[in-house]
Amino acid sequence: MDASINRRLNWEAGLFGIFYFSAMFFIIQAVIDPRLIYQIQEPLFFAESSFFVKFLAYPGGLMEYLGAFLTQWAYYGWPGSLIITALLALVTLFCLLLFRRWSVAPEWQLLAFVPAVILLGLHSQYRFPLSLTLAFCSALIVFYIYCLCFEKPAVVKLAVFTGLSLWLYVTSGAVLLLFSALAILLELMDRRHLWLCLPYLGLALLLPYISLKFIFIISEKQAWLSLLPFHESAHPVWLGAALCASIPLFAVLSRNILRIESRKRDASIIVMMVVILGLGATALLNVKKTDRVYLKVLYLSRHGLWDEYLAYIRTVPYQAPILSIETNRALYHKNRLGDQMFQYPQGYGINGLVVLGETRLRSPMEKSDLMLDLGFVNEAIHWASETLSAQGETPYNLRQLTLLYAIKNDMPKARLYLERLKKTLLFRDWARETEKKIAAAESHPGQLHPNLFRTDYIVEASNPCLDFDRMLENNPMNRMVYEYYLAYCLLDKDLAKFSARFAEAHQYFPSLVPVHYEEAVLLYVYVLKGKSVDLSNVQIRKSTIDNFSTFRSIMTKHNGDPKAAFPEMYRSLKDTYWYYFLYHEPGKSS
Amino acid sequence: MKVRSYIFLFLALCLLTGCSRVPPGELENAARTGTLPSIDPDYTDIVLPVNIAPVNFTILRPGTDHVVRIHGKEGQAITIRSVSGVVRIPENKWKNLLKTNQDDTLIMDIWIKRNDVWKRCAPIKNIISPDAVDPWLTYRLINPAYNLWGEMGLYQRHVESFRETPILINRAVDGSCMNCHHPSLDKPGNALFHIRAGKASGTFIMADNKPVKVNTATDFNRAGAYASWHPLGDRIAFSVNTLAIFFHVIGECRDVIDHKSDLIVYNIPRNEVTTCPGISSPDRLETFPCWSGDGRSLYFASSPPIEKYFVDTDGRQDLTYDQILYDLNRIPYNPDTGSWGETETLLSGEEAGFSAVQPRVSPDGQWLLFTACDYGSFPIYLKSSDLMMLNLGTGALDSLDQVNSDETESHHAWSSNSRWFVFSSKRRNGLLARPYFCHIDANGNISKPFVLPQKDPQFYDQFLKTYNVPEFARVPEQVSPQKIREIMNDNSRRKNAALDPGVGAPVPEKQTDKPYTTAPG
Repeated sequence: MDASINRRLNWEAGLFGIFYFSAMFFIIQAVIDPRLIYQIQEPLFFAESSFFVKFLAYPGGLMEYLGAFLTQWAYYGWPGSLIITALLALVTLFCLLLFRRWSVAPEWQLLAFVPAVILLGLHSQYRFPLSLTLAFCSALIVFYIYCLCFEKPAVVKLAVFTGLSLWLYVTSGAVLLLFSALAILLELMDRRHLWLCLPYLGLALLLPYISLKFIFIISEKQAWLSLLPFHESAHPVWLGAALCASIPLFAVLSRNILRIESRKRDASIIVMMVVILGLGATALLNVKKTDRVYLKVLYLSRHGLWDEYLAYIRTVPYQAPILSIETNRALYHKNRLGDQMFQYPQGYGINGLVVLGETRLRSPMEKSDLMLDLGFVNEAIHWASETLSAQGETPYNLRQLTLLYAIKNDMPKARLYLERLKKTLLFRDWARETEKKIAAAESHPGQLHPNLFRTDYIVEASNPCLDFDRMLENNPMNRMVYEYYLAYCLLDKDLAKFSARFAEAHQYFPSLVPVHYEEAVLLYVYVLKGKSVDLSNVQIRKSTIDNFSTFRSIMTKHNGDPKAAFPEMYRSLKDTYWYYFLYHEPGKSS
Repeated sequence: MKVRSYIFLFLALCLLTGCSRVPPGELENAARTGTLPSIDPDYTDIVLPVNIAPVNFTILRPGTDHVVRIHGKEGQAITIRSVSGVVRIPENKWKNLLKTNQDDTLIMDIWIKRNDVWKRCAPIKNIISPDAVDPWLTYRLINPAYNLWGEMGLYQRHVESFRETPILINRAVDGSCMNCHHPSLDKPGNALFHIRAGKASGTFIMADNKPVKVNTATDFNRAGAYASWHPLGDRIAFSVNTLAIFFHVIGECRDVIDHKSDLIVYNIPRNEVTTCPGISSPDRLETFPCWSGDGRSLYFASSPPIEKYFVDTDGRQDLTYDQILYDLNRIPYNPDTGSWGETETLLSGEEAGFSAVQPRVSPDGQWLLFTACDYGSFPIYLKSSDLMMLNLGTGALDSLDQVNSDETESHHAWSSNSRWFVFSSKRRNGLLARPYFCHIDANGNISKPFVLPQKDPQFYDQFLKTYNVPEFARVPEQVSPQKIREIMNDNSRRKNAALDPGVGAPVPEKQTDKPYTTAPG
């Protein structure tokens, strides 16, 4: 190939690279959204030596340390996109450098983009830690250094391999196996120093074995698999396998196929671009939509972006207890729970209102948030502490515990968590501000938080209504608890209990009571013929009375058969409590 | 050029040395404040073991400069200058100073510079006891325990230095929950702990240099929990408990109740579990076993069964958990024949008005240290929990006011010479337990407690894990963490304890080695 064509191809590759990684940055930013990566991984990075030392206690710790440092910037969004893009560009750069060393024909060099595309697919899974990308990258760099020494005498190569392996295993864990496989492959193909394969293989197996048996306190899995891209979050599994296989495959193909220069160079480049872009699109399609929805929902609720939340949740085609729980919470905060809750899916019934059963163990922090809103401060501490126990320190649980203990006027405990936050890079300003507020509160002690209990009782984990009752005894003006009590009764279809509490509604709603409460009380009094409810203080909207007439006429028309009335009911009254009452089956999420 | 560099270096060193010295006379002529300096941790008016690590501290309400001079009657004084007020004492000089001033006073003079004026605080005077403390302290480091758990580990700290090494970290056993480490004081090297849940679940027992994994669950009992080594080192008393966690709406949110408990004795060479009606009565909840120093008595706590505490409220059965009071008991034991005597009540919870749990007898058999709390058997979550001591010779009860604080005190252990005890206290913040030491002399005089010294004196303000169940050990754990991991992960060599055929108690239900729902801590 003449020099001018070569230069042109380099230019084209360079331009493609710039275009490609710029596009990748915007895609990561817009489609993946690094804030959601932060949301699920919640990396905590302390600027202190004792934090660093902890990472030296196991292979791959250094990459995890670096990963924690870099991932924390995803909190701000675009810096996270920039970091991921830069790392993927670095991976591509070293692939290109390897291709040059292997004399891969220029038109095939676009294949160097493939590992980055696979990594993009893996990062679109949100849970995929940055430390794995860092480890892969360091394996590539180490392998490139080895390639630079490839023409040296065998003894030198052995020494280099040994040094690099040690370094790689300590810093990046089991990606050593990938590096060793590549080095062995090169030696097998080269055939000049075949005997080197044996010590290479021995060292690759010996290092994890010795680490496991004598050096680090780790599990077998950690010794043999740590930081390989077979992380539990690497879905589908073939993506991780493809990433590991890509470089050895290129090494093998570079011996023959990748050296053949295509006759139609321009055409082949276009084909390659299509392949790369196609892979990129595939990677993006890999974004797990349910995860994205879940994370977005949590992001919006944790940041109290309730309007945005309610607009977003309408576009979500999935249901899950935690989505309903957060939706109802958002509705309450926008003062719309009693008016609009049945306009949103309530298929999970009471399990979609309060965090019960298994959902508590899956979402302890969300349970803590809800308990804090409701005023159950001890329960909020309980569940924030469960998160701390299970997941370790995260910025969010440290902040939550600081605030909760401050609400309880328990400043020594609040300070304990605050001191930790002061050691972080991202939240130290928040910690310092909060410290000032705590100091001010201590010097001017005010009254206890109105929702704090005055008398003790044992939390009824399986009977939230009992807890709500006690909270209302403690503080009758806790409107959220009152509304949640009524909502619980509605979702539980316990209209007798609802009606008993409904009598107090005028205290909380001086003008009009929310629509769904009107619907429920009409149903209870006129259809179910429940105990008489004093409606003298209650003014029912005309629209509710009209709808109720429609409801009754539909039921009459179908001889009281809900099944037969379903199509009409769905058409006219699907956003009402009556519809929920007739058609919701406990345990079904439809 | 080279000479000039050396001169420059010399001058720089001189300058630096000069900077670190207070001009002569300034300290000697400093005015005396007459008050003790505030330091954290509080290492004032305490008795220090001759072999303790340096008691590094921070001067609270610091000035712009500080000088600390530590000295005794003998030996070379240690002078430390600290601008920040953080005082780190050189280890070797400290050791020499303690050695040369045993049974005498150690004085810390502190000068604080404020507004360009040096002031000298009243000297801190501590006693150096020639009674050495056992050189190792083992404990579990966990986040405050609830239902869920994550990273935790068993650690051992060399109390003569700042060296802390892991015995086992749960990441090596797939993140399983681990119970506390119990070393034997009579047979150094013997130790045990157990792992709950997962493949590694079981009890690790190291006896006579033979580490084994044992499943102590039998048809009679679930796996053992709280443990006590017999002085002979060939048998271990365990409690078997059925704990459940529940939550309060005010104060400390956590609380634990024991629904059913008994005591068992596991004979290591015979791989056999035995018991007797005196320690596993269906009419009592027995827990917290502790062998006497001569191995001829077993101390424990017990209460009436939980059924007694249910009351009928409007047709509903309510459990009056806060009425459950434990007694302190003792039962004679013949280690040669394995026979038991009659149970004796040493202290009645009902009469005393508190629940008496966690009895620990000093190895010389003179003192019985226990935890007194408002109710129940889980004092670590009760703010009311305090240590108390019973003189086994006279029967006198000491409420240990000089030891206790407003926060929780519990989980205590004796050193092998009966002159020190360690206990966990939440006095620093009410949330996280820290290990505190006290000296007790032959007459039963107990010194003010002091916290385990750390290299970084601000360590306890930053460390969010709790020190769970501190225990003294005379030697470090003899099995490496890697070997322990291997043993615990290898179920093919796990020994399943057999039930003593002489135990004829009816078996109400098949008990298995189930993971508990809560981690004692």
